[in-house]
Amino acid sequence: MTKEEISDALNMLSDSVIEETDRLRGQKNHIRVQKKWLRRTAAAAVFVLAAFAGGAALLPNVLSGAPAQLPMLTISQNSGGCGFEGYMAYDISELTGENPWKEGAKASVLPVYKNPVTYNEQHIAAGMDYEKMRTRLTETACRMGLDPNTLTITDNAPDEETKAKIEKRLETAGDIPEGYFDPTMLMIETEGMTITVDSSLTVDIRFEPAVQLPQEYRFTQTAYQELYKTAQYLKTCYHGLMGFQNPKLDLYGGDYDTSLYQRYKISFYDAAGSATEQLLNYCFNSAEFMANEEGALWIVRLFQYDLSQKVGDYPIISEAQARELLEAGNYITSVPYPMPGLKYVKKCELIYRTGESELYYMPYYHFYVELPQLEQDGMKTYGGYYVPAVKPEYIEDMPVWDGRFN
Amino acid sequence: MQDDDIVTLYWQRDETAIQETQQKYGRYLLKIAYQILLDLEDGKESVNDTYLKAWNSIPPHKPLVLPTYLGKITRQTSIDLFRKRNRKKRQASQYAVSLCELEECAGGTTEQSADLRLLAETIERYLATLTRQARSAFVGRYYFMDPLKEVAAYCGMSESKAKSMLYRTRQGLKSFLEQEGFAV
Repeated sequence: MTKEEISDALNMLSDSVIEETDRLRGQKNHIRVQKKWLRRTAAAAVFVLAAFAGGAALLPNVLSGAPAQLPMLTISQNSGGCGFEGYMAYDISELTGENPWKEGAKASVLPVYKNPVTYNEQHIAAGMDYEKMRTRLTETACRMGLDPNTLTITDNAPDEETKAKIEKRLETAGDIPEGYFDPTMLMIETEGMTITVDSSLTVDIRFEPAVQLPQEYRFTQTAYQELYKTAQYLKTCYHGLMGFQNPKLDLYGGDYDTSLYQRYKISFYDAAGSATEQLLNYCFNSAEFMANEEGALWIVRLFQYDLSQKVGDYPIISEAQARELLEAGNYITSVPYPMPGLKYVKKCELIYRTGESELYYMPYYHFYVELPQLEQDGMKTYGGYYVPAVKPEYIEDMPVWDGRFN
Repeated sequence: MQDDDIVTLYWQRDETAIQETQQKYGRYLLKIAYQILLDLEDGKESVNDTYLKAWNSIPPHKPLVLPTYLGKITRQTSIDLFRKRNRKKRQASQYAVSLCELEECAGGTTEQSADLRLLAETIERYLATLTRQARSAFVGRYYFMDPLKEVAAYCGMSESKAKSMLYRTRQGLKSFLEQEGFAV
């Protein structure tokens, strides 16, 4: 029997088996677990075609002259993603979101942080802080009304028996890398919910069974206004859990999936403090609510990235300068087409990319660019292109699009 | 337009059935094709073939779930095209990558062809023993050939968890197939 035969046989699976998964794929916006940078950037469009992280190549250190007091930064090219970031909509105005940064806003410096957790080629993490994870988990449990004295914290490391089995299976594959069996997640399981925390300090509260909302609040396949009401209800119920001084609703999305349903997601961030603090909260510290297929509250996800390793406050370029760099090809993207021209740029926002492969949490101008190749029957696709917002003299490896498709 | 109405158009031999199918499921099918072929033009060709095959097979078929029916056609058509065309340039396609992963479950021998229908039934029985999450991860990765990151996202787990879950599922499938008498 060959691998091809196994794959071919899958084509003969019962429809019900395929449909079960296909429904889940259609619901992906409601249960996605991806890190926040994807939430902000690649979260929506399902028209995901490409299997590469973009056609950008790196120019070796061609720009220099950064003041000595601020370390040079490197751009993380590998998003780890396989699809491309595209949002389907008839018009850019359909894409919603409450990014506190406004086009034309003026800021001269923004902080850059080192991502404390790095991954090697075997995707084994270094720099995980179990103590911080434990604290975050316990705090969340307390906010959920659990007694801290009765909590049992476990992790997802395999038990000895499983380890032995895996070791036996892998013994022909050479040495097992160090850290292979290290836990990547801590958890508390209680009746009615499981709380987990991962290496980025993102907490998931998973309700089992999912929490039914009062009948008047709809949660799935729902228009913006209805979801807005549901969000307000959730805010009232979970205000304490979020712990925000000024929780601001971010009902983001508005793009269409392959079934032409418009999807929105319910998120809150803390809109307290200065404009910079609000931007940081928006990108690093938020709460997202997800429904299961039946429209009940299934997961509350609390993002709170570890920003303890500040590298410095870096001078940033203006949006106009970013557009010049975009036009010159100094961008990173997962879109399999070169940027088609400034006239196709339909929207811009400032964000921090926070994917696990990012070496630094640093600001980028995120451009939504209409892709003329993909327009069909009035439905447009807007691709995401990123230009580093930090001044180029601080970037060691400024990305340059080299025209490669793959 | 509702799927039932589209199927009715096929039965009435009304060519707008294809337009409606294209309008509603064109992107859905193109995604399946692209992940196998890693080429937009080939993907479009495969999707166009799907419309033709749907036209030729409905009637007599009357699919209950139209996208699943069409998706199966696109998947197989794309795999056939993959085999026909130069594979080298498609090494990075999700199909090629998923095949590499499935190699762990296969014996690699071509001496004895498996009865695909029996194999499918056996795999399905194995899938029935899994949790819904594990089953969806497996079907998502190896039927739809979705990238790992997407699978993890819609199954509600981290990428590393999805990876290890898929690994365990493949190992389990291998054992199950062995028990059922398949040459692995």
